[in-house]
Amino acid sequence: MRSAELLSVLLTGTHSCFAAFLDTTRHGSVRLALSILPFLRMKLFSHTAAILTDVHFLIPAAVFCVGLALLITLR
Amino acid sequence: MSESNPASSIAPFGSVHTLGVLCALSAGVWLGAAEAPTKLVNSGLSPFAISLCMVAGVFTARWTVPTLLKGTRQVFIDLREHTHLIPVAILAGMLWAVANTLTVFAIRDVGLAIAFPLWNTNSLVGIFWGWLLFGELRGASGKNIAKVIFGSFAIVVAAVMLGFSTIHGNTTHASRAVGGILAAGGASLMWGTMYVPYRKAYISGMNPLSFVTVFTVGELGAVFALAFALDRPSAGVFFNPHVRPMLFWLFLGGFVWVIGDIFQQYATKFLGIGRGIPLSNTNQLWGLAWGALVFGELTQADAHHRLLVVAGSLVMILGALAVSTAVATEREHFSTNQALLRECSRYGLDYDRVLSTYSSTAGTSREDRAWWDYLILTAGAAVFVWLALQAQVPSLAMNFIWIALLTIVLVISAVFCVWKLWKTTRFS
Repeated sequence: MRSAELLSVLLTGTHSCFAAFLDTTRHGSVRLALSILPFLRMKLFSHTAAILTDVHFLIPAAVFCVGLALLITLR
Repeated sequence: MSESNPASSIAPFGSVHTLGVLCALSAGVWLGAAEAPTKLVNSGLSPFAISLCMVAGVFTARWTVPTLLKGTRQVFIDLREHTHLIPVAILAGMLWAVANTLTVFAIRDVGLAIAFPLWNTNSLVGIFWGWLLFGELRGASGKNIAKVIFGSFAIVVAAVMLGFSTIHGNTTHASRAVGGILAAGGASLMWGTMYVPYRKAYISGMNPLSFVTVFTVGELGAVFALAFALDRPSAGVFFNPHVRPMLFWLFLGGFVWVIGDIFQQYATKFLGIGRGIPLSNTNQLWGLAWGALVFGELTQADAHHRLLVVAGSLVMILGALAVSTAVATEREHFSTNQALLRECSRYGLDYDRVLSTYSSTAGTSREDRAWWDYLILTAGAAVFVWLALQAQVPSLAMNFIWIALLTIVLVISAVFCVWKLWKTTRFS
């Protein structure tokens, strides 16, 4: 669990920076683009550590990488 | 997480087995028919271009009938509650896209005769992941395990026999044989692994229609990226005026595929990977029916090939019968319950809510559709109508009586399955 906790701390930090950027940026289009997915900002970040250490995600992701590498090799 | 006793909540699991079997068999009917419209496209288009057009059709079709069944408001509420499943569903779509492209390379390098049996083992890969990651078949009786394993194996063997019945000639290129076998094996591994996200979504209480929404985004994005990277001219296929008369047939294939996939999603939800996927793999039988009866693909077949068709069909029916009668026992439901608890604990989900959605007892009688649902529905249908107006019917010999009969089978299977889903689950 140590790696998951470490990842969680790093992601929380990233999320804080991201939120701060959103609050301070004056670029209208950026704010609009990101504000249409507020739930992604709020929840996806909080779950990222759990996802990235979840075997249900890691195995399909690893298989995808193998398949993609195979595809590029065979091309 | 809820404080209720999880052990007391196992009872609702078994009530949807028959509905799951019905969904899986309907998925077979529809997925088998999905290739029929693409047979009308005989233009020298690259496989990447055909795949891209068909997946664009899948994406567009997602916003037609499924939107009619359940409004987008419900879908977005579901996605908001299960944000952690968005990347998982996108990954599933990407897995499908890469696997599909690998089959193109496999056919090129070793021919269909070798590639087809290899990638058809995907259901066996799925059974393995279902057992390893979700505790499927754990606690099942020896009889049920035997039914699922031998039934699935019989369906794979039958699919191979049916595949061989339509293969003529040897297209193997010895110099690229290893690559071709690797490509076919890779496709099997990827399609078998694609069901892991499916199952994960449903034991987390996600609605199949919500999952398909995100899945098609991942699928379209990955197919477009692959076409752009590996066969750049095909990425601009939609702007080619020579292709436009054929687009309708590819989009129609995508439409049929997405309906089949939705039934397959419900089958995975109600039966699990181990039972749902082998049953929906009976699509090979229906694909052959369309090829042989409508397009006359077996008219030149000799007695040996015809025997393969009859034997393959019988073996597939027996395999499907074995899997569909392997009803999960309470001990197996306990393993499923453990998998649910794991998801709830890991992602902070409400156990009672997840259980009621998983066992389809949380259906709402009130469907509050938004005005934009009708707008989306109209736009999706308009794309199909617009393409249909420009479509050209190629001069290909077809048996219209069999087209009518097989279409009636398609419609009846869908109407009956949708009615049962509505009555039992309200599409939850």
